[in-house]
Amino acid sequence: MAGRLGDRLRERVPELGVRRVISLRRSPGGLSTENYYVEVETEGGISRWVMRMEPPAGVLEPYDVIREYRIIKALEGSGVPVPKVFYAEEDPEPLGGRFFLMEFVEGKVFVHTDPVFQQDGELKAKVHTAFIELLAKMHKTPPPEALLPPLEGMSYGESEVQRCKQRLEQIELLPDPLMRYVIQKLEEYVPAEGPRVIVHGDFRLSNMIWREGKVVALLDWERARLGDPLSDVGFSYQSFLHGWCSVSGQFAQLYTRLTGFEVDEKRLAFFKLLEFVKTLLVGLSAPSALARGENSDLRLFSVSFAGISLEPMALTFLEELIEKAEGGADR
Amino acid sequence: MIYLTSSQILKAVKRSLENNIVPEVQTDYARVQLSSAILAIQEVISRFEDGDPCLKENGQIERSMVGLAEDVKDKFPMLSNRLKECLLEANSLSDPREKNRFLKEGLWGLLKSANGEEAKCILQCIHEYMKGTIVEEQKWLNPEAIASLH
Repeated sequence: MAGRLGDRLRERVPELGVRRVISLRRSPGGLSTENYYVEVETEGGISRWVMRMEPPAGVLEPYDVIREYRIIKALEGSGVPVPKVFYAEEDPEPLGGRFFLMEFVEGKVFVHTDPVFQQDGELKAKVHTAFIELLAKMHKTPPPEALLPPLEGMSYGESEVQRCKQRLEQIELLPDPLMRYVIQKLEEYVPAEGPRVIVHGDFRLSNMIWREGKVVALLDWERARLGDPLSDVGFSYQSFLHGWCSVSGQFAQLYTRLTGFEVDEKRLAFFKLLEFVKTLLVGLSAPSALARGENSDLRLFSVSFAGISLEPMALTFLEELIEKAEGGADR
Repeated sequence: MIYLTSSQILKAVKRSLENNIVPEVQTDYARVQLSSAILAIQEVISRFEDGDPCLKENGQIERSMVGLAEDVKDKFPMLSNRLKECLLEANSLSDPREKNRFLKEGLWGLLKSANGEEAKCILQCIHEYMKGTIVEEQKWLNPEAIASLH
């Protein structure tokens, strides 16, 4: 594959000055879009890049790495830190999937479970604040045209619920009455339309690269769309992904101060459940991706278990939604 | 190789992978694929020896539905009767996945039109069998695979 990549780059983007691709190594990280570390010899010396390639099937269908490339490209220089992207290949033939190339960003990646946060409260507060500041910055940045818009004629909330419903229909190998019920309830409780901003869709610590105390790259834009800022806020309430690093309490106040967007409890309850359902659908998609025989990543067995084991938690988010929506001011 | 049962063959393959291949694998990505493959082989061995896990889940669903039908027979007699009818009809299905599908569709049919306390009772029944499913599915958890996802 390294040889084919080198040939393609020399043919299509001679300005990159690629002499040869020394190695192409699949990264163990990430789940859906395939990440490869690329070591290349260019006219300027040895460089390390990252290649993101669309799998034929997976847990985040439909894939569109070209859209992701365009979003990142549009955000260059916006103040939202993104890796520099070099080239997008729209033809799946040469390597077996569409892909794009971006710089390899050196730095530190945190996860909320890092023991360092238990020992260093100051660092924890600093990281949490920077997390909120970046979210606010992104939500206030003019949305690029490449972002996936809501379905025609629908509000963002309606559109997202519709997408969840369609996705569940696609992936159900056996009926899942709990998920069907939760999505039915989401349909009932869609809130009034809010502002439309860049929704990252997977805004969490492990998608951020830090250097010298600040985020130098926000990664994984495959779930980005044009939508309600409370989507990313609601996503931060999934304790197994975020732990303490959520947009709540004083950090929600900071977010509101920076953006002017209220974290309204009623609307938030809807987005918490919506985002949780979207996360569950990732896990519940795994058996279907394997059953179709189009994905060879056996980690999907474990991902499937994660989805199943978390599913009953949807009832807790649902109870909160129904309780908060009582009175129905926002319906 | 008629001397070996299917599970003996798979156990031999699993041992070979664990003893001969795992130590030789160089990259993290290949290693996590291999450990997941070994887990899958173990599951197929268990299916040869202990049967299809779908049968177990069907049993759990049936027990939850029988329990619910009994619990609500005075308060929601219609629901109780429909649960019993669904259970009875499901008994005619011999394929475990067909039966599983039938039972879950049956529960969904009841749940989608239920309100208030009736819906809560059905959700409780679903939650009940799901607890068993989660315990059963735990064997698929490969911590190395989950850790690599961050």
